[in-house]
Amino acid sequence: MKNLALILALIIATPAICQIQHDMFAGSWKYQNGNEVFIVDLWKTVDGYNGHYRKIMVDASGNQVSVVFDSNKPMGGSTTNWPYVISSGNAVQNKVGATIHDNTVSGGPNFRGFLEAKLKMQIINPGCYAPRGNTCPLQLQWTVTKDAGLQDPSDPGFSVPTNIILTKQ
Amino acid sequence: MQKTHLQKWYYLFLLFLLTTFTFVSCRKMDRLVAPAGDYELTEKFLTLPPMTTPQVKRIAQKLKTLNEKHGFLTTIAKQNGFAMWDKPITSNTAKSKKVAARSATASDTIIFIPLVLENTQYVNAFILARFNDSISLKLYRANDYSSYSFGTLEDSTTNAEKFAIQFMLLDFETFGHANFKVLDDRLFKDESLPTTTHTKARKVHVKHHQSSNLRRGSGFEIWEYDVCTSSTNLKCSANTACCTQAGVSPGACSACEQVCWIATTTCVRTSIMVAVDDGWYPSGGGSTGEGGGGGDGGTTEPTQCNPTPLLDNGLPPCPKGSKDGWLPTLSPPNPCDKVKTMATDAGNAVYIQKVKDLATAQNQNLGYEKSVSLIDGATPNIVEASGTTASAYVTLPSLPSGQQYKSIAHTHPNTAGGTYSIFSYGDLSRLCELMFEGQLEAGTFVAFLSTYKGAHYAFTITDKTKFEDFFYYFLYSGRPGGDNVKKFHSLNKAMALRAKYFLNENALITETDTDNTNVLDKFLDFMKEADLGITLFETNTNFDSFTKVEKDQTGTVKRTNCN
Repeated sequence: MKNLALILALIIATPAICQIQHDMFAGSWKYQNGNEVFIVDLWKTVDGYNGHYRKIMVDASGNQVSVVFDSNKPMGGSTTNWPYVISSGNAVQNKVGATIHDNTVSGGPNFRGFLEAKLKMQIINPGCYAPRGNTCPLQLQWTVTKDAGLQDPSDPGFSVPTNIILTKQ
Repeated sequence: MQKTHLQKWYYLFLLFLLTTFTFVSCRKMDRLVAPAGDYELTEKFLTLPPMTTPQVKRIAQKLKTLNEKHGFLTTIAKQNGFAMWDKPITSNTAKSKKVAARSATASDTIIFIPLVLENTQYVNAFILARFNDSISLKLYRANDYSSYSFGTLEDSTTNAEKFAIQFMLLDFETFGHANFKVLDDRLFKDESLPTTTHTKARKVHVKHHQSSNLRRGSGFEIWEYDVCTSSTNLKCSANTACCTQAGVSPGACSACEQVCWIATTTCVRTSIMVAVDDGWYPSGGGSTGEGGGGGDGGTTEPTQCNPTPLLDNGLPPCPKGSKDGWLPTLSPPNPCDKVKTMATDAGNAVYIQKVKDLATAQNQNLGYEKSVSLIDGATPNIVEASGTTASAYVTLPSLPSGQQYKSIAHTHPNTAGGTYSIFSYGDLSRLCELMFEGQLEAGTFVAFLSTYKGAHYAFTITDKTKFEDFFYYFLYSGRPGGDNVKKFHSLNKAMALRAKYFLNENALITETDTDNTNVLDKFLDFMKEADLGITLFETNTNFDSFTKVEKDQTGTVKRTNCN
């Protein structure tokens, strides 16, 4: 009986697992600059992608020694974490136009606590992608720009990198 | 056998646990800690917006301290409403002789904090904070008017009419409500008429006195108002055939409308904002023992209360009435009027000329934006700004206390990479944030836009609550306060619409689209889907002709000429 339940659970879960594995954007992406590693985690949603980012320090062996910042943190004055800070619709031709909420910045006393900006993500070597395992590491062009429109002059600069290439793990 | 014996003890133990649980659950316990819902109400009540002044922060802090004694804020929030901390009204007698605050000494500062019930748009109660060496707090409820004697606004003592006017003035300053329907026949009676006179409508209109061109936010507190009471009374002697019976239905006899019904209006100029703080309080409605109640109608537990409006001992004042005596007439102002007033008011002529200047080819051909702002309370009151080649977008700073944006105009010029031929998402979020911070007056504010692509627009804020609700995530996610569930819903909705209309690779509104008709069409869809609470107008390079533009029920663009 127990074995039957396990088999049924696996049958039900398999399509979902496969779907995650088959997505080009969903997963963990890294960019390393010296001892600093910027990591982006993206997951698939019904209408596109959501995600979080963090920056850590690593030692010479690549082991984490500290966290510089992490977007998966409580919302202002709350114990509840941000559900996501990266949000987009579905990809078109290996490109995604997204919103990023850079919530790891500090501002003045009336600062809203985050910056809302445009994020462009583009797979620059889609030929490496294969449904059952990439033939070479996928690379993602990551570009963050200010939102078009009236600006608050007291807004701080971005804490996230604005123009890098991330590698899928 | 052994197994059966163990099973028996096992079931007995389960029964014991179940009994204990049931007993503990059903036992009526003294409330040692506030229920989770009460805690949230208190948190919500005490949540202060950004830019809160130090004095208002002191009021909130004192309420918090007092609340720790009896938890009275839950009762106040449920029965009287939440504090509009961003709408304090300060009456400093030392600052202006024109402020008449009864029983206030020259060194007193009095601050009114309006209280508003959820999902309503009028002042239901207010906290009166008096600052001298310490802070004294009192709470007044609109429904308590009936415990005062009825009279006229000329009476020397506090009466129901003066009490009512106090609330109407707060409504006027808080929400811009200028017209009120009187629901209680005993209020604002025309003393010159026989007491048996039949009245079919009684209204009150409030406005700033004509000479009082200095208002809140201009650096002075001028509390002078014209309060006009109008009533339509039956004049029975004029046409006996029609009017012998008092109470004849309006319109039942056409002669009655023109002959028998006489409209009278009486106006009083008042500079008394504090009409109820003379130390005299009507009796009744509970005591410091068990009493009170009412308000939300759902409270069954007895509540300790104060016989006076004082809050200083941590108890809410006892309710003394439960009937609405008046209500604001909530007919929304015509958005066309707002934009036309801004464009044609002689006092705005210099500003409007600068708005027109922004639309010239010289400015539209630039690679960076320019703006001009009209600011109430600032000297000079017109401020121009400009982006740069390196940073094309124009900045709109938060203003010092006492200043508010009345209008802002900016350009979407020939910037590298294209430009929107309509307001951008970032334009809307920044303006909403300024409104949230109390830095623009939603009731009168107008935003103008001129674009390189030849389209010119204006928008007004029609429903402040809807505008704030859409950007709730933007206003609250990084700041203390706000409701987490509401933040999530707002974030999900806004991100989905932002992606669909502005950010997706196949977004419906793009900076490279040169088809202004298509961009307008999609922007109207966005406004409708987001339920933004703003009204959009097409205009021309002279900014002297406005057409309200919206999507109707069938999705067709509907245009209404304002001129």
